[in-house]
Amino acid sequence: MATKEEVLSGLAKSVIDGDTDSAKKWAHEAIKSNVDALEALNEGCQMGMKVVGDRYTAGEMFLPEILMSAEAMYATMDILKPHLKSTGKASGTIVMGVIEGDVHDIGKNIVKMMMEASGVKVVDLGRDVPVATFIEKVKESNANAVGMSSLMTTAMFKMRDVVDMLAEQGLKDKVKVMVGGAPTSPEFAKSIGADAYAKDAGEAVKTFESLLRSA
Amino acid sequence: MNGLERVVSALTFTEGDYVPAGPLVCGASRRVYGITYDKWAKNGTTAAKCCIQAQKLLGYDGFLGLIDLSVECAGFGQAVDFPIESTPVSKALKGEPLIKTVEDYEKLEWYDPRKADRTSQELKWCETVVKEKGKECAVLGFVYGPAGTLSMMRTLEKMSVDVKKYPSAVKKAIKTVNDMLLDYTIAVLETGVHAVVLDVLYASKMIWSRGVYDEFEGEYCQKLADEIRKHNALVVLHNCGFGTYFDTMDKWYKPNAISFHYLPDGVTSLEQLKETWGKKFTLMGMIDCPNTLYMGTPEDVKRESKKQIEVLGKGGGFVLCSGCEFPPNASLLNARAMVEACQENPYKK
Repeated sequence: MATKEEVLSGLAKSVIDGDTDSAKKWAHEAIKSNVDALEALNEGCQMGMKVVGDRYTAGEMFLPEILMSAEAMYATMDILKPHLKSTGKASGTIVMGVIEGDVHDIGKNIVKMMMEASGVKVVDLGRDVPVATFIEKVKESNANAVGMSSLMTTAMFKMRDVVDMLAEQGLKDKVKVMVGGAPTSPEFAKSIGADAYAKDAGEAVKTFESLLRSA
Repeated sequence: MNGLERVVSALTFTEGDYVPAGPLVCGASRRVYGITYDKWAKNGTTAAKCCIQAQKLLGYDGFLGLIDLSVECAGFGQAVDFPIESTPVSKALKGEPLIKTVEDYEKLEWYDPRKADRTSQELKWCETVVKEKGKECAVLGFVYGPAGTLSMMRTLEKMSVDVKKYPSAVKKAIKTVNDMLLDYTIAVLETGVHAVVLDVLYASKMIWSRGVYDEFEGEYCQKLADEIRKHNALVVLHNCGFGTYFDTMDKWYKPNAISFHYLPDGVTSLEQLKETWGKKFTLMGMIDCPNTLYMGTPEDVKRESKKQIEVLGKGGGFVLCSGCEFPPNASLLNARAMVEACQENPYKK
């Protein structure tokens, strides 16, 4: 039997190291040692992913490492989820996708991972997502925000259509719009009527949380 | 001076009449002829004619033979999507990768780039542009590096995990790709281009660490740079990522020039960029594609160009370029504005 502190730090370290085997071992240890599954996720895995996000933003970790950490985190979630006494309160819901005309989704996937690690419920629409699908899924999920990304100038202005359609349907005041992706910028976000721009995954989570607070 | 002389002066660190302009107009040139993107991308001769016409219209000093980033992977068998109004893209990014499993890395086989459909069209582009404009403008062939090419058949996301979990499988595939790229580079050089641009995007903080880059691209791709030098052509690198590793790129490839979008890793100002790297190789950049060339006006373009010309142009060693391919759907007036900015801000004699 391990102590709670040992379990939490073991989980966090495994996630930071991107060590899936070790992460699974500590997830099983959490159950064996009667550590609350929600606490193990929040205080162990999520803390680990927070460090990963900060290091990625600081340029101290890179794509392969962050993807390995994600793999470790998702492996622990598979083990711990069936043991959750309550699912906890998700800190908001975001509908996310790569806008129609573009299929580059790696950035969106990293943001999704960091959002989920922070307890945000993510409705992932994938890539090349039609404008109307964003609206439909926002309504279905009663989301707090829409997150869109694009890597191509040939597709990025389609994001404006999503903003316009949200306004047409009376949803713009209820749903915050975030944009990201290499060709986008704060100026671009403003020009299409989006609420915020985030330059990377770490910033996206903080921006989402701040938008929620200001809503 | 003609465009070629102007570019040569920049590359030899001397001041010509004015800083050469290279807005890297590639896919955007199709609009000069009014043809669809798929037709432009599938026929090298047509693409070349479009580029030549665009250069006549806009007056820039050099040509870049970039069709799109799926040219090299197609010959291995990777399916490619050709939208009518946008850049062709590997279907790996749409969930149809050629390399579906780790075992598939080993199944990759060398192909003859002179015979394969897409690479042979690129060679036609080079031949046509060299023949028609090679004496008056700089003509640069383009080759996507081995790591980039391989990721177009697996996706960057999966490949980046594979480099950690299955390094030997990835390296074997990188070698196969690089062997083909070596022959492709030779074929490009034999068309008479003045330089070959190697796209080494993954030498960037946003993607790989220096160590991973060294191991999975530098060691292999160096052979391409050596081959370019053997043919007495110039080695030009392109990297439009954030936090690019100029030191790593210099170590492996000893480039004559680097084309880039953002300030490299460790550099925080244009002045520092010129001081740190501007005497080592020619700087080619760095007009912002989305914010200035796509969303901005010709006045915005001129303002940004002037600033860069003033700081980076001193003493030669600078070509005013777009940070990446000129946005295919941006106003061509913005490409013209880059040329005018160079002409309106000549070297002070």
